[in-house]
Amino acid sequence: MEHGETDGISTLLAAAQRPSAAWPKAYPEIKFFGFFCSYWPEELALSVGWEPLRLLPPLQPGMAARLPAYTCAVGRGCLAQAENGAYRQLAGVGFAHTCDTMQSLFGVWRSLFAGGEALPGDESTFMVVPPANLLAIGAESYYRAELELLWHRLMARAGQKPEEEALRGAIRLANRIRRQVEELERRRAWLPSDLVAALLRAGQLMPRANYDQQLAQALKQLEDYPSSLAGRVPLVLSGSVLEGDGIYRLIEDLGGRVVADDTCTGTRHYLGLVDEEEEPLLALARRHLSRPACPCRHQGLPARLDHLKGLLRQREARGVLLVLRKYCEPHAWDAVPLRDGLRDAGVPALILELDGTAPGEQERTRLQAFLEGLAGGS
Amino acid sequence: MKVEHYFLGVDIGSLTTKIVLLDEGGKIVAQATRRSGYRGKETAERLLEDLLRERGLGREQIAKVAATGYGRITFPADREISEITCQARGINHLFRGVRTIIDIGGQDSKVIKILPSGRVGDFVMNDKCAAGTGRFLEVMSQALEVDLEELGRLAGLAEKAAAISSTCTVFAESEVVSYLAQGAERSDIIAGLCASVAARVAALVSRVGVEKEVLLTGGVARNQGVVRALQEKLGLALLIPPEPSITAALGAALFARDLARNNENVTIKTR
Repeated sequence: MEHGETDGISTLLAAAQRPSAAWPKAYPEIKFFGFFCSYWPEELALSVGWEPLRLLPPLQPGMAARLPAYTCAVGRGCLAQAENGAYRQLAGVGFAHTCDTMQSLFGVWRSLFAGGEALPGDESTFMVVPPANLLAIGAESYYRAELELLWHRLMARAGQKPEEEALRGAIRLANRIRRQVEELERRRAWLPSDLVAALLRAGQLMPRANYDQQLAQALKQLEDYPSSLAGRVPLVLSGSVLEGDGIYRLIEDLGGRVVADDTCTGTRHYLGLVDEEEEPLLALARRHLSRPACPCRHQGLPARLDHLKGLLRQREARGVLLVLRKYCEPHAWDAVPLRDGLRDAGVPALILELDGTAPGEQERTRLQAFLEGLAGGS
Repeated sequence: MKVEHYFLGVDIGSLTTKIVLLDEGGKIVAQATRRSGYRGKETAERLLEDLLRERGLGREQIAKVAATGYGRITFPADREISEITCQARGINHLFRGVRTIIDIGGQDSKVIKILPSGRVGDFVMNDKCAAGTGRFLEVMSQALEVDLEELGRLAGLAEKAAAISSTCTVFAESEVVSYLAQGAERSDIIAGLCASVAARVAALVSRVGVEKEVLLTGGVARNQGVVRALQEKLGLALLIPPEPSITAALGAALFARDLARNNENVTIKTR
């Protein structure tokens, strides 16, 4: 994997630009395991010896004809890639039941690829169902049992017996990465938004031990990074999956800076450590129940609003940008009350709908006007 | 001898390109409008050349340039600013009491709330489909074989506006064709189309709320049929600037003047 590389930033940027579908082909000696959502417990795949690979749509999404046009770009693009054979080398694919698209895509995937040459759907397609209400009585014991069942199924697929030490090792690795991301977050305000986004996305694509090493190297390089917040408008960015850096680059071009990130492929993916002293499956369940939720899960009505307001205060941001991927229903339902709640609290907020991740001129106009307002009128 | 300096605002819109030249006192000394065509930047360049020639001015007399509109990033300017901010600035310069701007342009429609300071308080845009925009009326004028500029006058001759149930341009065109086939009066159909635009824009207005005074800008503000229908829909009188198409360019020119006043040394963009 990028043998001989010592420049952590360059390695991670190159990794972030490599599409999900290119990884299995580029590194046939590595067994990758595809996953879609941050609620998928990466540690379980790692404990089996598979490298978790976040399945992201191509930057120019293809339209899978069997999905209706009102399906999000993630569902459409990933299915189109799978049908083109991009994921044949995967050890399996993991879905988390977070939204209707993911639930339906799981069914489509399993039936479409069942009995396939290298990706038999029934045996290699896995679903985990996190509790909808993360605070519900019994959520913890339910989720622990769900994770245990999933772990055993993954092990059976790999032809292995569950080894707690392997799982503990995977947890330690994932935690090391999360601690390094915390360090990156401390420097975020002084770094270009698109750079940080790419560094974080790389950690969901490349083999994790390698990412851990390269991120440590990158953090050392970033100590001298010649960037600053001077004159930029600090923003909180919230949204779902962003497979490219287009929106982050546009924010930078227009004089903004993402000082806090609440996206599925950004910081939110890494938040929360797993207790290494606790029984591993219970500890994994507890992390997923307690970390800041996405709109697909419930932690009490004001939880997401309070989280964003907290980020705004801590990072001294001037406004919140709610990026809404077209046809992403959970985020669409969430966006309006979030915007209204923020505005009621005196926080400027803008909902920006994107189809792909590369904003067009119309999105540019909206975002520019929003930033001009935050900057004081022009 | 003192050489006069001027400040240029360029608004490259989807349908038309507008330029405004201000003097140091903030007075409009020249303005010009032309269809944007295929290359808005080149249209703006030609428009400027013609305007300078007519006025006997040299390019070196333009102290600062600010660009706005969809083509703003293509034009070499000292600064590019969104048309929302420019529109608010231009209107606040002309009409201090306006709190809501409805801008119906060629490609989109916008509603902008202005704070007493002249800053943008809130805005909404419809740019996802042609409904409620100038493009909608342009397509319909072609279907009806009427000059775009004639739509407003003809709408005033209507006895009973035809009901256009669809706000989608494609489906509305089918309805128009159907009405024509039934022998409906052209003026009745046009009045129905104006009401359709008004309904769409009024829905947009309701998203930010109406605060008086309310002003209508954009090329569609010249269409009396839409103005009447929108006033009826909103239940209030709309202010119309004497030159409703150039207000964003005016705002840009005012920002260009600010640049010079603040002595901002901004790198000229040459994209």
